[in-house]
Amino acid sequence: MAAGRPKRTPAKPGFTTPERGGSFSVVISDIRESIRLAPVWLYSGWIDVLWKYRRTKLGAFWHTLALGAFVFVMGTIWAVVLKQDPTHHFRYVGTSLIVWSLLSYFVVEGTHCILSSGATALSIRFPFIAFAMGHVWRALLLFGHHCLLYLIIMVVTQFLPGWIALLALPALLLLVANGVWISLLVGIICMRSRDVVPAAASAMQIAMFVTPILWPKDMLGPELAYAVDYNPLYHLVRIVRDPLIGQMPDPVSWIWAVGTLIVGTAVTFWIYGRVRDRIAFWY
Amino acid sequence: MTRITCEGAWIEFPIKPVASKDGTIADIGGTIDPNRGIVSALQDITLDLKEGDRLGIIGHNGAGKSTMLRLLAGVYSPTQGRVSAVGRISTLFNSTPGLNMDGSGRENIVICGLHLGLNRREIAAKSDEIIAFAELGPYIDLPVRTYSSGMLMRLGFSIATAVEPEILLLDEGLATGDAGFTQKAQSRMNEMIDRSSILVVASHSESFVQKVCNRCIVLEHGRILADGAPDQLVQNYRSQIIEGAKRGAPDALRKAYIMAVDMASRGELPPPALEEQGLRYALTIAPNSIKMWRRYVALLQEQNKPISFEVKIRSLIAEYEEGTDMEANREALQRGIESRDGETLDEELAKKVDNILSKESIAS
Repeated sequence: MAAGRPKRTPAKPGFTTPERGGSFSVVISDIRESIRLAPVWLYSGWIDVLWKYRRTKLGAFWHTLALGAFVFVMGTIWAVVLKQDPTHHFRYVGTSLIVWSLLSYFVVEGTHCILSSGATALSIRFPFIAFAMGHVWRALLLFGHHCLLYLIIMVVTQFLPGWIALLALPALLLLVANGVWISLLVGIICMRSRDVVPAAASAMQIAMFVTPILWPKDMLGPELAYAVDYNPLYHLVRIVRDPLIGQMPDPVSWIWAVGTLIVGTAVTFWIYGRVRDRIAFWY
Repeated sequence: MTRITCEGAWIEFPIKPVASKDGTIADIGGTIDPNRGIVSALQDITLDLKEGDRLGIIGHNGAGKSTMLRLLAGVYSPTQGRVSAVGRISTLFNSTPGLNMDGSGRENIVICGLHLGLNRREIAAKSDEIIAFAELGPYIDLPVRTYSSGMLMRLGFSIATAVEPEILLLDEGLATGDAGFTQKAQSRMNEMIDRSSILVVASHSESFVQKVCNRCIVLEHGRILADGAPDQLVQNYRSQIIEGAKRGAPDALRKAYIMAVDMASRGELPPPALEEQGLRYALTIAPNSIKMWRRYVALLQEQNKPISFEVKIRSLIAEYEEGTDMEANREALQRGIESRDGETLDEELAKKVDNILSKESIAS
């Protein structure tokens, strides 16, 4: 590079394939590259959501509307079936489903996060981690729409969670951090084997009924309730949901969520480092 | 220092084990090895490109041209060997990076620009220039979904070159453009070369490569067959095709036709030997075209080649069937038949001749 020439990007442009150094350095450099490319995926995620408003009047709020209908039906039916206090249960189911929708979006839509980026990935060298980050960002934007539903539920059930609700913010951050590895892992697996795409959707549907979302955990009774404690999804939902309905989540759930993040990220990046250079061949 | 280096790079695609067990070379594509379950799309590519290099890649369908570009773009990592590049890279392959069919042209300029390494401010500054260069008029505000492939290519090319890359990789990029845009595109590429960068273009059009590039490689079955000056290589390639066509290889005949037409469409005169073979192909498709027969006979005369009896008769039949003065043409055919010097016609042709001659005699 000519020394006097102003550079647009701080990093030296160019690449070496396969990268020198092992799979670990591949992961590190791709993470760094993905963060540098933040303006790219932030913008494209944003405009993706914006385009949902093209040719539809409600745009992304359609998802919120569908979720709202689901919450209304499930909240009512399950309150009756389980003989729960209707307002309390309605609030519980509603908030749970809103948080679940985010988690479920990571997995179900995450199946396509690399698959659908073929045009980019086959044209330039682009870190696949950035696709996962972009996907999480899009999920977060849709989740933002669902916050309106949360407000409506709180107003209708006349409930104020209090200051404790602020605890949901760091919890959401932790959930989103988990979302990155979840989306990336699902995205990579679906590149290798397209069979996983429909399987992931079914699995999340079943998981929704297994995880205490539509029913409170203590309904399982003392013999079975402990089984739920080994479900990481439960803890991920709980740390965000509980503060939103004015409860203090058990610190064990926080530990579980952090543990999930560490283990999940380690496994995912280990796999990523090994297959990164093969992914493009799987399109 | 802008540079691309390939050291013994291989690209091997994983494939599902295939039914055919013979691990041999097919006419097209890379080498399939069913035992290891791989296709060797590129084999042992060693290449060094420096500032000012304009490399053209030519070869048959499936010879590995597009794979080669992706290797140079860093999209495919070599399964053996190493590739490294220094410089800002911009590409125009099947689609522009980041392109979204739902967005308008204007919005896609922003997204694609971001993907190619510009920031928002730079894009805002260049946006007008890109729009002007693409000449899409009001379409720039319509969704890209509504574009024709030529319009998509214009937009893609305008973006890909506006980012002022140091390395530009193009795949058949200009094939879909009309002549006017191709001219503009060529002058823009020349500007880019003047800024001392690297251009790599894979093309089916040898005369395009000859015009634009200062270096050329011929790929076949994923190997570099030849590497050198475009003039020499394209000429060799051409004569190879002509030789093949003379032997009657159907692929070579067809390719000769495509080459000749491509040259003609660029305003160049194809060499007579090539045009002759191209016409042979064209005449199998339209055997009654007098214009082509006349041209064919003229080409043979121009090259001082003997005109075979069959060609003579076939062209006379074409004259008769398409011409206006039937009687004169029939007499010409009659004379042609009488001038036979021991040659024979195949059955079908002989029947046709008899048919024409007898039909006319009944009328008179």
